[in-house]
Amino acid sequence: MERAWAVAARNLRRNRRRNLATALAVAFGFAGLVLIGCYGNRVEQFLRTNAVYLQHSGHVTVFLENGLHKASAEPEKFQLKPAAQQKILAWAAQDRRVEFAARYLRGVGLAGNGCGTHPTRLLGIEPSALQRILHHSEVAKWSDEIARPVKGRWMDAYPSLPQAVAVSEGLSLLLQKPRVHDEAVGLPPAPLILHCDTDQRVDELGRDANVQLAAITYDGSLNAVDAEMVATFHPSETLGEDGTMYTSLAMLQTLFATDQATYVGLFLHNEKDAQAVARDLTAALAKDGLAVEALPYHDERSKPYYVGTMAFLGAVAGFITLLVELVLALTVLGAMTLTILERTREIGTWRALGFTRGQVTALIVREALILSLLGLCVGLLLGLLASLAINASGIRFAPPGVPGTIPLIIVPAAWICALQAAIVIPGLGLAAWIVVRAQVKRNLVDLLTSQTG
Amino acid sequence: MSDAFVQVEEVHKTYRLGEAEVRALRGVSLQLNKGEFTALVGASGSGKSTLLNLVGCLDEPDRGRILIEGRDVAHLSDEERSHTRNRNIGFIFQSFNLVPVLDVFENVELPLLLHAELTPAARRERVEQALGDVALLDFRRHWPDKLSGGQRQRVAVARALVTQPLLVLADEPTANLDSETAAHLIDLMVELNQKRKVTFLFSTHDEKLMVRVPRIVRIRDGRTVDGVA
Repeated sequence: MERAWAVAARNLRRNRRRNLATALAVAFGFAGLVLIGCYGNRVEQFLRTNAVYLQHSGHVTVFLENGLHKASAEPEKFQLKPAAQQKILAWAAQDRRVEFAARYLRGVGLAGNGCGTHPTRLLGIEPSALQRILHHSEVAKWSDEIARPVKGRWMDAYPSLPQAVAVSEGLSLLLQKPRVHDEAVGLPPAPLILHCDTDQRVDELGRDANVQLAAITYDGSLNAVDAEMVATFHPSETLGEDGTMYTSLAMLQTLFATDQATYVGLFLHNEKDAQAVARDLTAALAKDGLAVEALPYHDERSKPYYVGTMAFLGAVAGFITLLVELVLALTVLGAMTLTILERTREIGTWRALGFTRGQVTALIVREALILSLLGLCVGLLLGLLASLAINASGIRFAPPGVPGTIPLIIVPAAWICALQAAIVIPGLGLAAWIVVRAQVKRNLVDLLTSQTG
Repeated sequence: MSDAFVQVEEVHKTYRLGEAEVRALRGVSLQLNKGEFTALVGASGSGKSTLLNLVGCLDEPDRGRILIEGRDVAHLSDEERSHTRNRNIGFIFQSFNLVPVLDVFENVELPLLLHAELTPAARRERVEQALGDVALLDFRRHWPDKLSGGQRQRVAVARALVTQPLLVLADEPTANLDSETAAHLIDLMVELNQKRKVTFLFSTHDEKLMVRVPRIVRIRDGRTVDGVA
């Protein structure tokens, strides 16, 4: 019907106080949804950045077939040999979806300080890949604090120090090594023979950043290397806090006396391509006679923490959205019920003049939609202002499974706001439709002889 | 061939009011000819409004037939009845029933919004003509609540006539007006009836207005009296 929107808008002026209250209820509810949605977005980006970049897995992690579960137990058999590594790197180099690829070697060993040893998980990283990751725009945007070392500088800052390692903060405490390489420069050297059983131990261990790594090589021998602790850091998962060490790939290959890599991480321009890249890579290499297991970052086998946390957060956010939506729908339902009751005879008049039930329903549902849209616009503004206030407040919190605290930051995203609006608007329209439809279906004479409206 | 435009044949209508049954019409028959001006007169509760509602396709009879131009409208679908009301029937209500958020012009224009074949200019012309007929052209941008009762009812008359209907039904159109304004309104309706040749059927219980009406049909206890119809 021509001018239906204009008529609906005018009708909203009839009971301004009630309509204002309804619009404000919608506004506050929507502001809450915007905040929840944008916070969820921030958490997802944070966790994904951690999973992909700071856990050095890439968007797609490529193991030799069955390597995910067996590479640690049978490294000689289930890790990638140089030829396989080259095939994967060559495929990645020619695929435009891949930004870069990096080889990694995982292992376990003992970290020692001259007085004692502690078991540690070791990750060998190509220095060039480490540099790209640490300076990646996604990392800077979403996980800047986590990516920064607690002390010192990452290994890529020491190109002339091949034995440079980064040690998790917890492990450095266990090793009683409070100083990193830069902090230990100029201190008197520790004695050659440490006084491990005396009180001097703490002082002597703290004078340098030297640690030792020991591990069983793939052929069964015991091997050890000297390392220089250039940084301490919080791993992106709490579990690794007391026993994680990053070394260069070459150093770890030397320790394990191998030229193999555990996996190749593929870092993509667009995370949405992960599934397709994994599929295409697997197929292409299979044709070339290499059976690999390519796992996208959202595969639970590869990233159970990321997948599980996102599923949990999604369920919580979905539940809250549903509750808010229900409250908003009930608010609109109540307001429209009163509106309809007050205008019963007017509805009868429209019908008597020839307007069909559908046309009258559409007219009044338009009122609810305009009211909702006004509420959404105000709510969006409120949500954005609230996010600015929250971001400026400097609130910090400890996310589950992540060591330390991170700032509570709400990152507004247009698509989140649009998605929330797309969920809310039909719900409110439906609520109005239910009320109006019931009324316009009444007998026309009853409508016209009503004592209201 | 009969000149009957509306034929009501043995129409019955019963309402339920809680446990009680109210037999509003008990076999009413009535014939309206084209261009006729007829008053339906009867006491309160005699069945006048019920008969108008049925003829106006606002309600359905329990039994009997209602033919408008030979077509039985008693059992049309809801959509068809809406269409019939919009195209063929104009309504004037006791309480004016103007839409408060629309000004005088928009209220009169309202039923024409369903006439997709009319251009905005043609619509405007029709509305201005209808407002001219009721001498309210100068009030076209006034809001209904700024008008007197008589003016509001004239707006309602203009709205009833703007679609150029075949039949105008008015249920107690003078009930909320003082006697002088009521007389003027009846005179206006009679004048428009003669000018436009539109069939008018209006209900009233005001005997003073009878002298101005060419044809009177009396109704009592749900039946027309003495076969006057």
